[in-house]
Amino acid sequence: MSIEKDIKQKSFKNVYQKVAVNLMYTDSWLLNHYTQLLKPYNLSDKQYFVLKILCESHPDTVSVNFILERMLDKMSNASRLVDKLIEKKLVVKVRSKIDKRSMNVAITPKGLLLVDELNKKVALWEANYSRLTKEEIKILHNLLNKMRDSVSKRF
Amino acid sequence: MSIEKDIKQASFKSAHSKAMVNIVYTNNWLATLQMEVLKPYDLTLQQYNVLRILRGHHPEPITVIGIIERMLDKMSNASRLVDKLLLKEMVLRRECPNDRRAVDILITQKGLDLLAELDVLQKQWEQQLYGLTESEALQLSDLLDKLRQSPPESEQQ
Repeated sequence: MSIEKDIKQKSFKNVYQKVAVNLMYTDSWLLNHYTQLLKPYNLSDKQYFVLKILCESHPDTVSVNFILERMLDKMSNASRLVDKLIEKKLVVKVRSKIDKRSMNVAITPKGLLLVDELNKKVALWEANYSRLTKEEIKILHNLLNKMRDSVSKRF
Repeated sequence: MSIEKDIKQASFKSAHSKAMVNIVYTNNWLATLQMEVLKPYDLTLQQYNVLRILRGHHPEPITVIGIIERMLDKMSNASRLVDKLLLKEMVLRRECPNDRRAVDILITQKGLDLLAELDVLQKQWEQQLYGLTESEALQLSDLLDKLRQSPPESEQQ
C-alpha cells in the first residue's frame, strides 16, 4: 500500500516531506511488528536490542556507555533498560576487570537462551515479510546513508 | 557514514535485518533533528503531527478516530495528545452535530498561526536536510512502500 493510502493523505507538499513522512510511518510500522513479536516474552523492543548487544559481546562484559553507543535510539535511557533486565534476571552487573571501580554488564545464560530464540523468530519474520530484492535493499541503504550524510557534513 | 559505523556494529545477520536497523536508526536521527526545531515552541513531534492533521481538515472538524487513522504512529494515544493541545488552546472540542455521542476536534486560530510559523522553519529544515535529489527521494519512498507490502496469501505461514 502507498503511504498516501496508509495515512489517508492525498498529497504532500514536496517529495522530501513525503519521504520524511514515509520514513516515520515505516519505522512505527516496523516497531509495531517487533512489539507484537516480543509481547509473549514480556520484553520491549529496546530491552531486546540491549540483550542483542550484550549477546554479541559475550563472553566479554561491557559498560553502560558501550551499550548506549550501539543503540539505535540515542535518547534512550540505557541504565534504566539495564535495571529492568536485571529484574528479569536476563543480565547481571559485574565488576570491570580493567577498572575495578566501575561496574560492567553481562548477559546471563537465561538471557542468552532468550536472545537466541528471539533472533530466530525475528529472522523468520524479516525474511518472510520483505518483498524487497537484495539489489533493492542495497539501494535503500545507500539512500538512507546519503540522507544522513548530508546533515552530518553541515553541522 | 554507513550504518555499521553509526552504531558500531561490525556485521549483520542478514541484508533484511540490516535494512530494518537502518530504517529505525535513520528515523530516530530524523526525529531528533525535528525535535530541535519544535523545542522552542514547547511542542512534541506527535502534537505537531496532530496539529497538521487538523489543519489538513480545516475548516471541517475531525473526530479522534479520524485523527488516529491519519497518524504516523498508530500506537500513540490520540486522546491524550488532543487533551494536551486543548490546554495549550491550540484546539477546540465540540459536540458532533450528526452523532451526539461523538466529539469533533477543531484547530484554533492560535494553532493555525503557530503552524504557519513552523512551516517556514520546516521548509528551511527540509531543504537543509536532504542530500538526496528529488528522484532519489521518490525512489526511497517507493522502496519503503514496497517493504511494507505483505507477501501474497499463498506464501504466508
